[in-house]
Amino acid sequence: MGYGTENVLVENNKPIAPPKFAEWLVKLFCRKDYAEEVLGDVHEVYCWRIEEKGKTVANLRYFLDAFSAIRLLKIENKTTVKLNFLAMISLKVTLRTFMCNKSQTVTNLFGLACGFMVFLAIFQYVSFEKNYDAFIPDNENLFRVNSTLKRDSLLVFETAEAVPAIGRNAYELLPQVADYFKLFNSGSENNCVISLDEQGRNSFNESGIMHATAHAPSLLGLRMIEGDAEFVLDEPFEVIISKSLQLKYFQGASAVGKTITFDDDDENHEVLTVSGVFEDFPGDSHLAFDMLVSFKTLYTRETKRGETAKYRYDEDWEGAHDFLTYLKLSPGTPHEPIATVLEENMNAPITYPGYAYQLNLKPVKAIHTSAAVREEVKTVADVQKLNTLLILGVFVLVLAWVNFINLTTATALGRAKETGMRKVLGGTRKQLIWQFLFESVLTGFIAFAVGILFFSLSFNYFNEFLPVTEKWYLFNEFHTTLLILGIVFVCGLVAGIYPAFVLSGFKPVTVLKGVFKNSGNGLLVRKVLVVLQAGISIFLITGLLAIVKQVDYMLNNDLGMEPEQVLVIAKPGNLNKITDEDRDHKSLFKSLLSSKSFVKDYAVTDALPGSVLRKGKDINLTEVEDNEVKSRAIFVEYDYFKLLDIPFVAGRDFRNTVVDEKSVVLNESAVKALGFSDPQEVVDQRLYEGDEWVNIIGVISDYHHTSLKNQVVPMIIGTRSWGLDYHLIKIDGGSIEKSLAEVEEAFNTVFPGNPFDYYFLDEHFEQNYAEEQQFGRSFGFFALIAILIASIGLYSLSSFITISRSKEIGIRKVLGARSSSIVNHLNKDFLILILLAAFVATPLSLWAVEGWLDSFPYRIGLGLMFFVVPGLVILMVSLTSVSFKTVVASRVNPINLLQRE
Amino acid sequence: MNQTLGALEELILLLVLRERESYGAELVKLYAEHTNKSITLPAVVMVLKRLEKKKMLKSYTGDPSAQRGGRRKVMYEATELGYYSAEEAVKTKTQIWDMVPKMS
Repeated sequence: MGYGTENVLVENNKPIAPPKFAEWLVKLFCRKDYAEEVLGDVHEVYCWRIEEKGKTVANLRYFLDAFSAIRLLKIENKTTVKLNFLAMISLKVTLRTFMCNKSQTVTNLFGLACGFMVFLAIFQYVSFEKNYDAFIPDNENLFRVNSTLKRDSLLVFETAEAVPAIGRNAYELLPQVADYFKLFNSGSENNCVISLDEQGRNSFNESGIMHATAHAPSLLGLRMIEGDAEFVLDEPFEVIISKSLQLKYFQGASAVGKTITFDDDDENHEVLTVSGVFEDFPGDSHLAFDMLVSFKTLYTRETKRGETAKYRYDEDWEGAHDFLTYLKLSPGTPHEPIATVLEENMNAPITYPGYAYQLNLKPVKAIHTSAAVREEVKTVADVQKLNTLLILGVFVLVLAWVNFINLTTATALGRAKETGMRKVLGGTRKQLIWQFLFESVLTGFIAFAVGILFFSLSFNYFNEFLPVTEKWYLFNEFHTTLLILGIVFVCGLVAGIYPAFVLSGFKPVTVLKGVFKNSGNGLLVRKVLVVLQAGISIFLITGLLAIVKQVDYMLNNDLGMEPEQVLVIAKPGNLNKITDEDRDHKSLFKSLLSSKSFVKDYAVTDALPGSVLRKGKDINLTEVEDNEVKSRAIFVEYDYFKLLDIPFVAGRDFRNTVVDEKSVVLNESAVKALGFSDPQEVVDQRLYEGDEWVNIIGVISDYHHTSLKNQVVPMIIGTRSWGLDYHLIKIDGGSIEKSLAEVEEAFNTVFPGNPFDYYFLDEHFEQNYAEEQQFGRSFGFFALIAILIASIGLYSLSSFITISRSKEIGIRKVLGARSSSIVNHLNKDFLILILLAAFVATPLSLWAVEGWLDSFPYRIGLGLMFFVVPGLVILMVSLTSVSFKTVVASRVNPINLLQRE
Repeated sequence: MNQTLGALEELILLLVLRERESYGAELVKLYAEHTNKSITLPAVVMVLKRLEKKKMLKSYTGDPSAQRGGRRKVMYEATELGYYSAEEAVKTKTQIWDMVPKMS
């Protein structure tokens, strides 16, 4: 006979099943050979209860059944291993120990938690940086074609971009190439303006624009919100935008079918139809874009040399290196042969002797951690910096861990009597070992939890110098989670080993009699550890000092020019709205500006100070190809030098672009490189620059064009009125807001249909040092934590020593020693340790710092400060933390110390 | 016969005897019906196993059914020993009960 209905209970067309977790519990507790019977019965009872009392009650009762299934264990004759283990440890004893040594438990947990916090932050940052592009589907088969030009096997340049024909050719020629796509980084090549209507209102400067072939969205794994990744970029004039742009342009409304207008400073004017919207492209990629335009749009453009646009953008073997080209290979294909085949095609038309191209297929996942190449979309990671950080993280963790071991051991020694008592009462050695190990592992995990809490609270702070996109990035991957938990486990285990094995081995009689003594070796080890901690702290402080000083030096050093109060406006992207073709915008803009009282100077240039100098020129005094000087070339209109306060050491400035078309200005470095000692000599000399003769009309004093991280290079400055991308306006006095408003008004009059975006030159310069400042902040933070941990370590050591020498202190006091002399006596030991640490660590850290500083051409010297300050800081901190205990110990009534037995 | 029966064992044994043969889930329900108290299933199973060990019950494995999530049930049936043990236990109690002075 059965209960309930004979039919199976059904809910939402699925047979009712009890909670999975509860079933698992039953299986866990129940004896194996009863499992089937019990599970079946429980299931049946569950169904019956659902009918009678409803689902909630049934679920509750099921859990009750599940837990009570533990009774079925007792039926077995042999207790299981699980129970055996559980019987060995006692949570109650652990908690009692914690409560008993409150201050020690708290310092122990705190120190270790700080260590875990720092380690988590660094580990998270480093693995984030090293796992770029991991989200791209099938990324191990996706390669980018890097091109290298060599001249007589000497590197001329390596670029991330390839010539137009590579992608298609590889795909058509080689069966191993399963697919390909090309990107044209329009946003970085040109100034682009996107307008929401044809009239040019609602316009935005956009730099994240790329032209992409049809397969790019699906191969990059774009997550489409609207549109199908396979087909969105099939036709000319199609565009897909990111979710952020959808929000910016259309306030989040559906964007498909809407049109936007694209203008750039090459006078392209195209109306694009939105065919899709994608989730913002992840930040942990070597690529970055907000908008992809279909590649076929490029084919509709006019080209200058009379060739078809399709040839210019897709078929030319000798064209410009303009295209980021990605090849998807069939799984398991070696990529070297493919590069070889393509290289042959590429080198075929080259006629210059000695020149040859080399192609290199780079796995996309490796791009971010490889050496920087030209035209890379994003700055690549500094692997050396990442490794340094990782080492620092391990340092700090080891510091904390050493403390943990020390404190656990010290606490355990205080429990010698307890251990003896437990043995007398019949505790086995095995039991004691398990108990101690369990306690330290538990402490480890609690500290880890607290560390996670600390990390989570200070996440925003960490994110300023160790930025990651996601808060719990680390825990997304199972194996890293496992690794971290493993580290925590081992930390706890090792810390527990000393008390577990040494302490549990003592004979109860001797321990209870109080004969038990600390071994001398243990103390020596702990002293060495203290020296290590102090040494690492000294190293970190020295590093911090060097970074802070160097950044300060770079920020405040004389650049040889005056970048303050200079407003920068990039060349407007949309010149198509300007009605009169012949009108000279710059002159108009200049005349409008110079009528304002606050504008002191105005100049235009093609190379913004503070940015990299891209163009190179070989200059020489003869036409012979020997002894030529590699120099960097920039073009300006007049007034550039006056605006930046760069003085002339000889000759004169440009008069205007027409008269001085064939004139150049050199800097002092260039003059020296050409072999002259007196700048006056070169004025009015003729100079051969690459392909033509020009006149030197003046020499300027050297100034730092990029930043103090680079050596001043020879520079040649020419003048012209076209192709100048940056407007510089020197503002003098008056309120900045008011001046900006007036400049904006003038800008809108001259360049309608362009958004007014600006920044200041000095801020642009300071951006160059952002990386060092970030590095300095992380160093500062680690140094702080390291000092904190080291002082905790010293504190615990001093408390340990004062306790073990309490009798000595008592006798000294009885014999008439004063408190102060006892404090001095006790502190002396630590002083020696710290001095030893300083003696060893200072030269080592100075050596490391010297190495780092040597990477800067303009650097600070290592003054007396570097020798003294770090050691002194550590000395002060440690004396303070040691004195806490020693002062207390020296004041106790000697009776209390001597009575203790 | 030195083997004794606990109170719960006795009750379960009686229930099995009444049904001729029975299994865990059914017994949970019967127990609830007869005593107005609820019992967890593992408690019942434990008693059944103990009775089996005392050779008062014997069991065989039935067929799987969907009602039980596709698991086979184990049916229990009282042995002769079980029958007489139960009889004796009940008899002893009844004898004593009969001797208890009645409350007025």
